[in-house]
Amino acid sequence: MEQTGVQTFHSIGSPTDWIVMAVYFAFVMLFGSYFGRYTRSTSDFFFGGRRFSWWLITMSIVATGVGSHSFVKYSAKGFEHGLSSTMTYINDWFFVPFFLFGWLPIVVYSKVRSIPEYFEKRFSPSSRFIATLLLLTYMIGYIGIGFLTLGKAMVPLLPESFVLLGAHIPVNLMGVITVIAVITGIYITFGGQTAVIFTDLLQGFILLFAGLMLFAFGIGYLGGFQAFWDLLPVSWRMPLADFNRPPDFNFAGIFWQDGIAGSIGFLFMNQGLLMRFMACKSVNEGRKAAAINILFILPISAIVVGNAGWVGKAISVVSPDIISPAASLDQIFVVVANIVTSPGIFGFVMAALTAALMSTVDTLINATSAIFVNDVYRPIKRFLSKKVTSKKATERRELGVARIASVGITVLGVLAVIPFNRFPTVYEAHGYFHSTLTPPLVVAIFFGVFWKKFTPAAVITTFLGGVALMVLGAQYPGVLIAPFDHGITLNPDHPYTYIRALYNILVCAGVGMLTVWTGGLQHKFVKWVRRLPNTNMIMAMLTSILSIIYTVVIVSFFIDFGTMNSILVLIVISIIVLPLVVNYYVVGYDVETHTKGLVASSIQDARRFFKGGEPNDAEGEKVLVHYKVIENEEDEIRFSKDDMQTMAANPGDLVYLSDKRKWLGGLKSIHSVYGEPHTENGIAYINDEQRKVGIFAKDKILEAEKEL
Amino acid sequence: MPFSHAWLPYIYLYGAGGLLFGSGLLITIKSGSLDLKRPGHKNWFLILIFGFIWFMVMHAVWNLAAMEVLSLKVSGLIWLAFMVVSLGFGYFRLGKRARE
Repeated sequence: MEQTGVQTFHSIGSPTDWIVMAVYFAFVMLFGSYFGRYTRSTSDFFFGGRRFSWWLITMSIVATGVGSHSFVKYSAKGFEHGLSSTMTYINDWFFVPFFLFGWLPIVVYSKVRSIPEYFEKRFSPSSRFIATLLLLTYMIGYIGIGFLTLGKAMVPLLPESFVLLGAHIPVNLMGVITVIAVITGIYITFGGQTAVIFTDLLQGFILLFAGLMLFAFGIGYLGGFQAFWDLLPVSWRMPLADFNRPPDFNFAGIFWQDGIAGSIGFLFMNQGLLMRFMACKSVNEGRKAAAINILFILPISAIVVGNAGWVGKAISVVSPDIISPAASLDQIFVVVANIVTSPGIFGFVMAALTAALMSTVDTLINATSAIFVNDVYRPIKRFLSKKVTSKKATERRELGVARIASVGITVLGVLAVIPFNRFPTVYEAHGYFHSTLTPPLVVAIFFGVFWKKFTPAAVITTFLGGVALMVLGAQYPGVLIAPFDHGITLNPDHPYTYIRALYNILVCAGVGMLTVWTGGLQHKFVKWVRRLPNTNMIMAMLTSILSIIYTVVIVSFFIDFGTMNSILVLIVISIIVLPLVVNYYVVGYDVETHTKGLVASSIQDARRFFKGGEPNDAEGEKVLVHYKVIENEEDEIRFSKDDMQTMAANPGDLVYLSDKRKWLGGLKSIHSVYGEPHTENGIAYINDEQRKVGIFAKDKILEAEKEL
Repeated sequence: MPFSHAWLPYIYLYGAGGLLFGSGLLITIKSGSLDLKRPGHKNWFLILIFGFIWFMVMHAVWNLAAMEVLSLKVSGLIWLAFMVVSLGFGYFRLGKRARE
């Protein structure tokens, strides 16, 4: 069917494919539900009980990363520009040192459950409030992108319309997305993080297999790899795009949008991904999961997600009657999969794709729900009620809130599809989304972790002043973003989709640095104001001025009024005034207290906080034991004196006890502390609750190791 | 193939990216969070450096193959060999006891 010059598709696939898809979905749902029984608390629901091995988390990350819109968007760009479509999969290493030895240990050891909670501990409650708003917007936007991709993947499979009870119902994108959202919502609401991790683990393997199988089929269809390679013009074989052309796909823009903002965003502020790392049994296992994923799995994934577009391009060169060069870009994956595979196999590939997309979306919904419970529900609850309830009752209530929140977030995610659907492809929608929403939080987290002098005034000014300058940049890209454009041409319909990330990062970072460097002057001013008789009136006046300025900035974005210079002057005034107001109202901030264990330079303090004592770094060995259930109210595990010596452990150290079978990946395991030693070698004394949480089988050998 | 597509993105990627990567190493070492005196952390330091080289080589070989400076077979062999070495190196390093 031809529509406005673009070839779009409907009713692709056969009844066999639909049967395969239905069976696949039923299997995955059952698989996830089975592991849902391991959810006993909010900790399990959100963090899977912090028990899993690196390989399990690595594979479950595949479904989150690869599944997320990747097949559709990279195939689209692959069809348009060739192999460089997946360059963003191979540019994540630059920030790995910051992540492995900065953010990851801080997040785990400081026991923060969400990124906004980190902002409260590191800065102030008001920083947490703004971070929550920004993060929820980011996460819901991400869910919207996921739903949009799911819809675009499903529409080509469906007829243009169908008849139900005599009514003629047209199939449209939003309708399809709504149905998908209902199915996703049901799954996540009753599953929880353990279910998500295990479903993603299964899907990670299947996705890689399905993607590589599709590539093999495509290469076979074209007559071998050499034939495929020779069909591609040189520019399509390059691993990286042209430096600054065309505006909708260029290296420089995508480097800043994805390689910098996207990479930090993905590693540092994607709550879904962070929760996966937090579900690892230790920081070191989290490091392994991240390193293996980026080093080996992502390059393979690059082939997996992009190959349908490359094969499609090659087919369009030899047989334009089969795939027109004007084919709808976001449908290329589905079209190519249908051409190169046979009925049934196509159904399997589509099932793998859509189920993985659902995994991505449900991971994000789960993560956003965690933020809601932790950063919205709990603070409000604390504010409204002083009543102390039992831990169990609180857990039960929060689990219920988490499930309801999941439903609400799903609805908001569907609504977020509407603005993203205005972009020509999912790739551009996602690029714009990353360039625009990540910089303020990325800069704030980055400076927060690696710059001890970064203050509450600086973080709040980065958020508000930085966003105000970003809004101005979006209004006047030809003036404000152009100096950083690297020679990229401005497309009036979607100006600087990617390179705006550089401008946005620079203005946020600039505002933050300026605020820190002028901290002395701000404190002098605050001291001076405090000595005045009408202090409160002056500060109320300054706060009102700020409110007016930010209202003007926001309104000017929607209703065109005022000149760029006049708005810029107002924003500069706000950047000067805001730190004064924050420094006046945020009292009790002490650099040493508020950075202890929360910045890279005090990881040792974080480890002490995590353990509740001095870490024991003596090298020990793992020991194999059987367990014996004893009456013990304390959360501790007791080993023999000899076993503790082998582990180089002392009473009070942290211990990890797991089923010895490696393939379980830590599913049957617990964390606890060492109790006083006994005399029975090869026996661990645990209590009944620990046996239940660890799901230990009676005759199976357990492996114990000292954690800290 | 114009320079703006052939090598400029590569130079920019590993130039700008290299600066960020280097500053990441420097900051984490200076802050003490990456403590080279600890055997586990030293392993990680080597893995980090190796990862950077791994991506640099992978991109360079791909570029040369795309421009037909290297044949597909030779590029494939180099890539495969490097992959095997990397996996071996990774296994050796990550397999070592590296407790936090």
